Amino acid sequence: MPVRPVAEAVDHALRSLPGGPAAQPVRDGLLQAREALGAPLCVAVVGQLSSGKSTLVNALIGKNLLATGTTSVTPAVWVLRPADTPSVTVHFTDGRPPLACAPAELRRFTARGVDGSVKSTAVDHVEIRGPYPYLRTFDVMDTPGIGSGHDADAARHIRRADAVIAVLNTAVAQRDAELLIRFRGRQKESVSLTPLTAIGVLTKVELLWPGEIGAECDDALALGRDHARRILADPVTKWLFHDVVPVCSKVAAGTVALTDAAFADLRALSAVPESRLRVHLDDLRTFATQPCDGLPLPPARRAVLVALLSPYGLFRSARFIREGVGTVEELRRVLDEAHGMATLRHTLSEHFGRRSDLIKTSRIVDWAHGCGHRLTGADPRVRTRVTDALRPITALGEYDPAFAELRLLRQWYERELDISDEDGAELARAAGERGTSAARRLGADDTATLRCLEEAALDRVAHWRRLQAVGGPDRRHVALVLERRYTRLHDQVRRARILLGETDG
Amino acid sequence: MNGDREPDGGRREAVLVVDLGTTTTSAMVLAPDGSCHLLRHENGWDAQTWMPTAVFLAEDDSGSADGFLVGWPAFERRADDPARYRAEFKPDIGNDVPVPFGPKSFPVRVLVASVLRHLREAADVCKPTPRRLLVTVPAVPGPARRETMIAAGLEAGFEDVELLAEPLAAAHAPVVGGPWPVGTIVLVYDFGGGSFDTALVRIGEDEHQLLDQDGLPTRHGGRDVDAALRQDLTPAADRYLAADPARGGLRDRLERRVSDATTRLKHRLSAREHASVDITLGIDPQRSSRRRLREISDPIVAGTVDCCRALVERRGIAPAELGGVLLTGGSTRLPGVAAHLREAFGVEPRTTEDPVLAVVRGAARWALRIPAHATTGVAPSVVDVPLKWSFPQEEAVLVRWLVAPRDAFPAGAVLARVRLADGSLHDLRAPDAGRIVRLHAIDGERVYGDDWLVTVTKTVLPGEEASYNIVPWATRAAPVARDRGAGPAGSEHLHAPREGGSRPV
Ligand SMILES: Nc1ncnc2c1ncn2[C@@H]1O[C@H](COP(=O)(O)OP(=O)(O)OP(=O)(O)O)[C@@H](O)[C@H]1O
Ligand SMILES: Nc1nc2c(ncn2[C@@H]2O[C@H](COP(=O)(O)OP(=O)(O)O)[C@@H](O)[C@H]2O)c(=O)[nH]1
Ligand SMILES: [Mg+2]
Ligand SMILES: [Mg+2]
Repeated sequence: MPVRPVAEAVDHALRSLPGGPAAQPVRDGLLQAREALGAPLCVAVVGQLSSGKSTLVNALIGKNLLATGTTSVTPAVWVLRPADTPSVTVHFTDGRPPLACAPAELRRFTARGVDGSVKSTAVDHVEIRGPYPYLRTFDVMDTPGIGSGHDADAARHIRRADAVIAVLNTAVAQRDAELLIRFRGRQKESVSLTPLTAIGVLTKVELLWPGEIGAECDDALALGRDHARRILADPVTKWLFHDVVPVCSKVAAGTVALTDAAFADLRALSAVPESRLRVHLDDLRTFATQPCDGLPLPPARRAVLVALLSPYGLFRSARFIREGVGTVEELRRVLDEAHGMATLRHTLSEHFGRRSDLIKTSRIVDWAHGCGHRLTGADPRVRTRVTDALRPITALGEYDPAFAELRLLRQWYERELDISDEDGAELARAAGERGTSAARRLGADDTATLRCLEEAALDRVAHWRRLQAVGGPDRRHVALVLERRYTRLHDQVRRARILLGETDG
Repeated sequence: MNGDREPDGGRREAVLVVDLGTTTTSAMVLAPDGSCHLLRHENGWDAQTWMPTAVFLAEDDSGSADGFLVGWPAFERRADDPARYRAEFKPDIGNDVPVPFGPKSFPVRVLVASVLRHLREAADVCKPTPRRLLVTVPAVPGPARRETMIAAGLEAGFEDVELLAEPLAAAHAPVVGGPWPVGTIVLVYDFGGGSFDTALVRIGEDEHQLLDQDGLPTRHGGRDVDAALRQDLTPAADRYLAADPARGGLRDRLERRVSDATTRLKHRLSAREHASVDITLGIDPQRSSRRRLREISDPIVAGTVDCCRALVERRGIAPAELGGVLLTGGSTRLPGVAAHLREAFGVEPRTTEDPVLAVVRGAARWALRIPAHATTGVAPSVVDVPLKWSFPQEEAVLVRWLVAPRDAFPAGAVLARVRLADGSLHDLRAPDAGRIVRLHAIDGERVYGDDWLVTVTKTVLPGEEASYNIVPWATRAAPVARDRGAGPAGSEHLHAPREGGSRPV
């Protein structure tokens, strides 16, 4: 369910609510709901210490804000929020009012933890606001590494998040995933590490380049995808993530720090034929320390580039420049695209954004249903006016299968639903896990004609209608919900066809 | 106009009373002489007291006005083309997404209307033909559900459509062992085919009162018991299909037979310790026991009892206060239902003659009192008088009342302030001193010149003189204060509160 009609229903309710004190609690509730709907998605990044969380966060927001590679002793949680003017606020756990500090002091916090003036154990989180290039539609939260003695702390914060990025270090991805499962097991209370809200991100995939001997590959991301597939196919770990995506976050974060001078150096290196460059990069030590025949630049400057971008990033950058990329900005953009960061951001704000809207909406609808009870005793005219005002909200959930689907999905991911894998996959698809267009929900490809979609919807209606009287109890329940979903899709497609003049209904 | 249905002088009109259940529908005709007649439904074998809630869209000219076969004829033909058959549509009443039937789609309202029309035609044997419909609805239908029900009734050709909550109807049904004592609080336990509903009802002299209700719309109906029991029968059917590849084409028909056999087996086991059922030739009769059925239905029954317990607790009713439990709905015949309730509430549940017909029979009894459902208007008395005002313009919006119900006010006090169409404000003054009995419009409501806006009583009791919350400018000596332009809050009036004009006249 998209958030707009919900927000409109809330606005409408606010406008048509009667004045006076009797309706005040309802008004307050609606204003709160409005605020919750407008609040940005909160994405938490979790993973083991040094799995690359901070690096990934930097790459996500497009600025090297958080210190990386430090084994901070502070279980500090950083919350990054989009804002026009930069500000830093420290929030405490002991009820002290939040403390503003100068952005310039940030490094001190990030690198060494909160020092003497602020008692470190009482810090709940540090909120950093600023105009970061890519941070627009969500907040990001960098959490202390799990398995490092701060699990309870991490769990407390993760519970507040709408979506979770689980960072998996490619070299030890399987072990990381198992650690997450144990973590989820220990931190029982709804640490949402299920496909409902969690996505796995493989980091350090550029280290896979140039592939195995005899199976060289210049696309590290493709090598990463193979890894991801294995994780998703694993009978245990596949119940953790919505998807597992590889990213070259180090490369993306590195390009953020790229200067014009460094870009000029890269341009010089791109003059070296690719095959030669590949050979040189294979012997990194020499590349970064020795003067070499046919390689431009002093070794120290080469070393800087490698440290910043990694050998793979340098190699790819040189290729992009050879293909015509002419400025730092352009390079940043193409690397961001090529290294999976743009897609990851999109998935976060689209897929998980919609998911969190649905969760918020279901809360609002439940609340609106309960409002009648709270008004007993008020003037009957006021009561009716309030119920009428809330009606667009209460009507939202009444026949929309989205809420029932969400509950079923949760049960399915928690393995509490006795249906086949095939039925489960269809449930997930119809519920919009692979995209919410009619075509995606129907499992058709995006080029399918409306006519095909209509037929497909009808076919699924018939299928699940039959199963209501054939399957076991869980399957029957899923069938009732999915019949409603496909009936709705059928209606949507049919109306689209009427609109386009393909049929006259 | 037909003299028989003149709704005056307590003369009775003929009423068609309908219980439209998820799985079964039953109907009675209440004749003007007060006699009741249960409609029978031919199933090709004998005349049943109920019919399946089902429709089948016949492509040929099958004699029905709208192309739908209803009830048993629909049920018989469901195998012809499952896509044209629809049962269990009750939960979707109020949903505006049309239901596909093969190539066509129909709003659920149309399906309900054809069921009601079918019943109206069946009631034609009774003279005079009922033109008033009383249809029962679940206790918590959303407004959309109620409106659709009424619209469907009108569409089916009835002149008046009336709704009655199912549990309230059931509470009026004749109970085995004699009527409930007046004042008893009865828990109505309605365990139907598609859902479970429960309500607390206080037994009255002639009519009972619905105190509160709750329900489980999914996973707790007779059909869910069927789905669970079916699991016991499917292995035999699967073996039969697997034994010969040529039987693959029989799957659909066999599945339907298994379904029907399951329901039959369930019904048999509600009366016997052991029973068997035939699925089809070629499969041995399947045996099962009451104990097995109870094993299957127990978790579902336990869920329904929990729901009842929660309702009783929510209403703060002590176990001793609960005077009885009434079983209605076909699924209360399941083994263990009475035992669970006895254990939970310490009272022996009571039954009606036929639990499937309890709702319709009770509703018919309730309908006997329809002539009493009228009141006669009351003209203003000497002390209670309505007030009206004329405004300079035809209509206005009531901005706010300056008095609350029970407030006493002096002559000339401003009771309300309205906004005229041109945006200006206009005050409504009291002609005499008095006390507010009731406001007939609320803040924000549109009002018209010469509407009666408030009822006041002319007598002011001793000690109530000061209850009017005097706004400083509101007590200006009344009749001369026509000069609206002079504005409120002239400082000379600020001293005028309380003592001012609040003396009773
Ligand atoms: N003897 C029996 N033993 C067990 N179950 C029975 C028996 N007779 C009828 N039922 C079941 O009762 C159900 C029908 O009951 P009923 O007519 O009260 O439901 P409904 O009014 O159609 O549904 P709802 O109240 O949920 O809308 C069916 O599931 C049927 O299988
Ligand atoms: N090669 C490579 N190194 C990375 C990558 N991400 C992080 N690192 C390195 O791993 C170390 C730990 O990274 P950091 O982001 O601080 O991890 P955190 O402890 O999980 O926040 C640092 O030295 C990073 O430079 C990556 O994608 N590729
Ligand atoms: Mg870190
Ligand atoms: Mg019923």
